[in-house]
Amino acid sequence: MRMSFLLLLLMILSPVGGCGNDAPSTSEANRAAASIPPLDDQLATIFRLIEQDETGAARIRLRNWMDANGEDARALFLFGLAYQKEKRYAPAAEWFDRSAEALPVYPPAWHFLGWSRYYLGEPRLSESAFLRHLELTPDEADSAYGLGLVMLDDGRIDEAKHRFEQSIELLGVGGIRQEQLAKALFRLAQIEELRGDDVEARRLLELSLEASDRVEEAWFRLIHICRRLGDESAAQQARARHDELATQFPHGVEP
Amino acid sequence: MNLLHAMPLAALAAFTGCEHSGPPSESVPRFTEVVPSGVDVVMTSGVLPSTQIIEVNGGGLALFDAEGDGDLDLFVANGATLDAPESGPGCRLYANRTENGVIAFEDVTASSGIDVRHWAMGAAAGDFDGDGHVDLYVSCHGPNVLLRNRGDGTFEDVTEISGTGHEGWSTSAAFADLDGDLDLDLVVINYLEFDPSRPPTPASFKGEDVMAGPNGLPPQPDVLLENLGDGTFRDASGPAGLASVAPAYGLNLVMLDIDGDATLDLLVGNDSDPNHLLLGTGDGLRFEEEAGTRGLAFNRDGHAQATMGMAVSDVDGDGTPDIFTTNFSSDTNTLHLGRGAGTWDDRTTTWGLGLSSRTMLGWGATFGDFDHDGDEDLVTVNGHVYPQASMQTMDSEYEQPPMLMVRSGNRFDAARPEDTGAWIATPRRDRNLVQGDLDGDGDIDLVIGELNGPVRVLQNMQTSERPGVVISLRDDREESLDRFAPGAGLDITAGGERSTRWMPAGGSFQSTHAPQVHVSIPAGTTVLDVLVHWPDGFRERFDAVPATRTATLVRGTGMIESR
Repeated sequence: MRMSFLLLLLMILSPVGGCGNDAPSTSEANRAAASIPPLDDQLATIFRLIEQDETGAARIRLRNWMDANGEDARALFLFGLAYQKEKRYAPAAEWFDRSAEALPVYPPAWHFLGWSRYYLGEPRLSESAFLRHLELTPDEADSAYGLGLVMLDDGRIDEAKHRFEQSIELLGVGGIRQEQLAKALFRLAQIEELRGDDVEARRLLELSLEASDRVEEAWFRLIHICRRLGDESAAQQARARHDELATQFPHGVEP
Repeated sequence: MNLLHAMPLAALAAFTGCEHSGPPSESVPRFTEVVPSGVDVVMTSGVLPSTQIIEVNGGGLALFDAEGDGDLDLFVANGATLDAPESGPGCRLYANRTENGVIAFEDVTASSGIDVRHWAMGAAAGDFDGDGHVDLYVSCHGPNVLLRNRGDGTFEDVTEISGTGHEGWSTSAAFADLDGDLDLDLVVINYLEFDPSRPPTPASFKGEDVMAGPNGLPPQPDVLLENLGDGTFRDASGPAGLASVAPAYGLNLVMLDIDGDATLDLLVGNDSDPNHLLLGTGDGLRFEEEAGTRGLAFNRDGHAQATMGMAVSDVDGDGTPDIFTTNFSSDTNTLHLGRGAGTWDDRTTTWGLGLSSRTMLGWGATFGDFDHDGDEDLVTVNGHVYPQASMQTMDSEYEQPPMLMVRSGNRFDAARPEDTGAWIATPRRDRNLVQGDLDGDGDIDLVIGELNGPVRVLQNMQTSERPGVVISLRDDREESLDRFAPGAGLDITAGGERSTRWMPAGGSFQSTHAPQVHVSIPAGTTVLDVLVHWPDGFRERFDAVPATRTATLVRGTGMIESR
């Protein structure tokens, strides 16, 4: 699974999205956004370097770019993005913070700040960043999804469910978002499992796998739920697919 | 505008860190470090900064009554260095010299005759010959060592005659009567093949060159040594079923009756490999591996974790054991709740143990009712394996503070140093942790070992009106050689409160907790009723146990020795 270059580029090129009830007015946000220059060719090239995992080279170019052009919210954001790509969330969060501080209405900084704070185990900071992003771009499914995860970890099950459902509503169905839809359905299944409704959890998992059959974790949960429901045959099928994916895409924290 | 988030779902699991939202201070455990404690060893495990994987585990601890005088003494498994892996500074034995509530230890290594200078990793205490004196098994990189307690304060090396000198890289070990024949068998958990003279080439972690392993190095199989009752053991790994499971990077184990069928089971924590759950069949020393089907092999998302530390508690109060494990940084610790019917589910997030551990790399762990409020809290010790670790490089510091997670309703909340003491504020390289009532006051004290650092003794300073009772078990019957019943379970009722506790063999990390069960009971309660699940499956009720600070329940006699 990798970041969509096209979608991310669109986001960077369009710093201000919609606005929610508590968001600054569109005109206010647009005025703020207009205060930074459009993404130039150099920054677009740097973004492509990040996409290609050339993060060290990207940072050198960003430094040079900022030496020539001064600090800029999008350049600061790209600094953070380079670290995020390396899964180094602490330095990433620092750069996203600086980006958001430079231009508080710049949505991508808030979104990625939400994720980096989440991975650093800072749920309050993660939640506030995701909420800020949703204020700026209320149609952002992935921030709703991130909020759901924060709330799930905080034991706020009903709120988490609402956020995952919101994420699904925002995603629609189609093309590149299928895997994201599958993940949101997978998390809804988790909530039903926590509530003890294995039948509904299974239904949601099957919907998840319909959206994308490559979510290994969904197959893993399906094994256990089917087994609890007494459907050993389905459990075995799920296990076969899970093991196939686990072999193709081995997971491990340690090197 | 929409955005496809790109991170692997696996990484969307959890963590912790800087935000502390503890419960009211009146219910927070309080510990103070005993200075000086008399435990003066500076532990050795290679040199700092660590360059090879063998240097990062540190040595284990064991709390047991070495002198037979009724209090808890401390054994420290000490390591060595890469340039002299077979001749380290040596393991240490400290005798408990506590008086009038002042915890103190005295180094009695020299007089005890203990002279173990291999690269020691783990410490298992158990009375293998049933003479009433607790013996020691030291797991090492290199030949392991069995030390028989003569009962006069000295130990003799009986490794060779007993047939327990397993070689390889053993991490944890533990004694328990796995076949119900009333003597203690021995399980040795092994890690991987490592030759200090030919260290592997470095690996990469988050862009940093780091020491290699475990992945890429050959794992070693675990070993079950059957006690033959005559002071010797034989390797029963094959017939027992251990040899038929895939070798894995074993770090830890607990042995208890995990599925409630009146036979002891074995749960092995493996590093980056699925855990093994070897369920006793009740047919002698024969086990069946069922971690996958029972839900204990992986975390919720189906991922194998590092599983350094292990702890057991009845977190949700349903009478079945729940299993907590500590794991690597950028992952989370994991709580598997027993669901009944011998299956477990990962419920880490809903109990507040997920995000709170994400920047931590955890090692030893234990549950305990440290504040005497009737539920069990959780403490873990932490520290990264890579000296290069920092928030900037790896989202995790090399030195990390312990974590005390205080039970608050159906959640655990991180305690704050201002409530519980400075000991959880100081980042260290901690590895090992054991619990026991060191001063005989009816509450749980802690001992923590630091990698290439000191051993710290933490005295529990709880002031609750609820008294604590520390329960020990003893089997004096002539036909039994299992004197202290590691692996037993206890159902305890006092003042209308019910709780279930286990005295698992193994647990924490490479260490042995005191052979005790602790419970706090409502103020004014004078007696408690205890149902003991002895390791061989026999159940025995002890009614009206006096609610004194310590109680020893003697099998088959109904006798209760109280102090």
